[in-house]
Amino acid sequence: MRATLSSLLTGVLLTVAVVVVIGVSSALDLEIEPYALAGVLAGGIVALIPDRSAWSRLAAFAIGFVAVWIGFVLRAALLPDTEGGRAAGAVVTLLICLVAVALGRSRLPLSAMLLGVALFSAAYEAAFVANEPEVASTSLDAATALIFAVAVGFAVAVVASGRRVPAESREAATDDAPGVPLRSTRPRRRELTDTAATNTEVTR
Amino acid sequence: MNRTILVRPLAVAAVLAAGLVGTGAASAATGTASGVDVTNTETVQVYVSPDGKLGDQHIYEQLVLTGHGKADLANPITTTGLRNLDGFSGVDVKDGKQVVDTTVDGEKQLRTVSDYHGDLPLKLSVSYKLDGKPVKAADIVGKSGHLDVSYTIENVSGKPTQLTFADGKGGTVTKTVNVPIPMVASMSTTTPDNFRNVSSKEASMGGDGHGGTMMQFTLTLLPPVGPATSTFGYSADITDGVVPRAEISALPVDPLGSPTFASAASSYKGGADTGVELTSGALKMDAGLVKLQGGASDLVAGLIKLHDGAGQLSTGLTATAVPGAAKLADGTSQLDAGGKKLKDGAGQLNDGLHQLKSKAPQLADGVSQIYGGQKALAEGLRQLYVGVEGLPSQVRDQVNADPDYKFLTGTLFPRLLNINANGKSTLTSVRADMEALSSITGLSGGDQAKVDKVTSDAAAHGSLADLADDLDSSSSVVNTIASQLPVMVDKITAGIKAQLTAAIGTPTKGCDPTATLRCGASALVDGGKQLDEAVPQLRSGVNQLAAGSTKLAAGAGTLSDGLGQANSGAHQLADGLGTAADGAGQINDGLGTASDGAPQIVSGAKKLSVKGSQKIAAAGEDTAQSYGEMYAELVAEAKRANTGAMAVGAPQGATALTAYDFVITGADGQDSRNVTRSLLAGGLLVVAAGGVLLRRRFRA
Repeated sequence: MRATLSSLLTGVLLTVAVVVVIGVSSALDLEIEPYALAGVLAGGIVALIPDRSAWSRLAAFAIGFVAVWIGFVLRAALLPDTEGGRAAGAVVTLLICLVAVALGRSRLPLSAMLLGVALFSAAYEAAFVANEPEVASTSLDAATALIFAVAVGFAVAVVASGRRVPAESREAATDDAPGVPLRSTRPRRRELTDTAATNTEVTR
Repeated sequence: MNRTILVRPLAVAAVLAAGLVGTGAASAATGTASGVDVTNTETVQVYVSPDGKLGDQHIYEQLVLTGHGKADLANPITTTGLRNLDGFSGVDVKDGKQVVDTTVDGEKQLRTVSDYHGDLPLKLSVSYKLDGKPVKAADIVGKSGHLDVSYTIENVSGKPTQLTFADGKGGTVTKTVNVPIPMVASMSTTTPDNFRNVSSKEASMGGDGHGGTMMQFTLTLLPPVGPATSTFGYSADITDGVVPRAEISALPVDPLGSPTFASAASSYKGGADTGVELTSGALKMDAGLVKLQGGASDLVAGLIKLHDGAGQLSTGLTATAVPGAAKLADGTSQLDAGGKKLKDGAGQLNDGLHQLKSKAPQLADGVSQIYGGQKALAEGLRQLYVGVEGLPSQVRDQVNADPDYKFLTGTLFPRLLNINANGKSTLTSVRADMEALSSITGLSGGDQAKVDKVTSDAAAHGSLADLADDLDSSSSVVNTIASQLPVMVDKITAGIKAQLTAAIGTPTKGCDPTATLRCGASALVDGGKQLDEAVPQLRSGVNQLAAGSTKLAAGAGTLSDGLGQANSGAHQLADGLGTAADGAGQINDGLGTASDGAPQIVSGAKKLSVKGSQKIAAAGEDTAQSYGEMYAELVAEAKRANTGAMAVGAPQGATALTAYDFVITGADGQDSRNVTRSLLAGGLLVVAAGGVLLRRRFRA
């Protein structure tokens, strides 16, 4: 019941966050409106994924985000303008992610990384195809807009789900409750060395 | 554990990559046989800052090979930053040319992009004024006020070229003219919704559906059809200003091949030809004006005669033609009425003939009956004649058989003769007795007297003698009658027979029909026969008459209509002649005025020659040369468009097309906006991290 209420609360706060982002964007002429929903929710997902620490997930998300950005730049600068070039860009993007996963030695969750790839790819592909030579400027515009929205969603979800969860109910709650700590799937040493504050705080 | 972490993402990546590569590999095509058409398009893309400064320039080369067979060609390209857009392989370049040696089966496409550092045919400049003061693009961002944006595009591709064209006097002129590559261009831009009261004299404008205003500028940069330099722009009242992005597409165009400009070229050529013709015509006109001066004198004389003739015409029309036309109108009215009567009569005739036609069978029957009666009459007369021939013997036989005749001849006549004989014998005895009495004497006186009186009475004696004679003659008469009566009957019947047969007569060929009955009857039979035989002809004739009468009725109707029209026309003629008479009077008056003014023609012709035709000739020369130069310039431009318009060049024999795309980037404050977003995002993450740390600390 508490888990359900927590999920509802987080959802309501993310909804409010989307509306606030759109309002702030309009007021400050930030032009984030087209990216508000996808960015805020992606940030919320990054915060709520029950896999490692929130900062690890955020870092993984950023790596995926940068990887697909690199893929777009490669497509614009080096790769042929064909389906093959597009496939090669995708392969390069995913290879970067996999290398990062390998180098991170299990600290960086693949799911958050792929979410970063998916978000930027989906949000920017149409603009890229429409004006490929201007990838430097248009990708930066899309990236900063998405980053802001993701940051809002991440912060809201982290704060909304930042509560204690009884140890005995953690495992049962992992399927339906946001922000559940992941102790059951992580070594205790790793939890202790994870200095970043997260919503997956372990009850000691 | 680690292996699982690595393998799962690799598997996912492999699946995704295989799907995308597979998509690309599915786009190949094959075919067969001979001949390859090559189309080379070059697109030069130029990025220009909002203030008009040139930035990156790329050229996109596209070769489209169509057909079947082997293609071996060299395409001039720029090699700096060269990249193959259709595959991962490089581009085979030799001596600055893309070398293509391939086999085409259907269609094959080769695309490359490279940096472009060549000359641009257009020079672009942009200027801004905010509230009337010149500003840079960056200064507009975020500002409010009245913005004026001005673009200037100049076709700078001109090359000095010698042009030769007609001078209008039969010769030619050669002139060196800067001939550009003929270009047409269009610029499009969309102002955002914070631009109000957007206006432009040169743009085609419309809304973009989002509160903004779309503008399209069309430029014709091909002298002399359009200026080599075109300046245009727009103005707007702005708040939180930006400089909108704009794109210019420019294409070389063949002014002689393009339907849009071919008409202009045709007009220039026509103008040049017209100038030559104008000059020639003006010179001829000048010569004609000299003749005009001489002819004007003749004209004056002619006008005077014409004036007289017009007077006569007016008089004739008024005095003769108009009354005559009125009479003609009256006559045609009568004709019209007669025509109508004729039409009615023809109709009646037609009806009668059709009735006659319908009665003709009855007529034929009657004639046939008459002919039969006539033949019966002739036969009757013949029988009558035969009967008359036998009339005497029949009469004799009938008389002899008649009881009264028998009584007369057998009884009465003999009795009369017997009576007469008895009377005579009685008389003889009386006379003898008287004589015997005369011999007796002695008798008393009285008796003797009586006897003497009887014997001496002479008268009595005479009467007895006469009576005896009468008896004799009566017997003689009776005998004569008895003997002559049959003769008399025969004579009578013979006479009757003779008269009847003479009257009835015997028909002979050619006998007088009035002489005897049978001649008349024979003539009647002949006539009846002819009449009977003539009936079919009569019926045929009646039929023809009926048919003819139908035509006659129709013709009479047409004639009546025509006469009606003639009547109407005659009345119009009468009215028109009245008007003509008025007009003739006006002509007469006008000719009087003209004949008075005609002498001025002589002086006018001289002035026209000096101040008109000679100046027209000069203007014609100018026209011929100016239009000739313009047309020659268009011809030279067409040559440049067809041979020198490519930015880099095209393979030999290829269809070559070039386009220039200028992108004037906007100034919309996106850089500062990116910084703001990034700072806000970083700040949010820092705040979130700080909040979480604080909460952990408090909870700990």
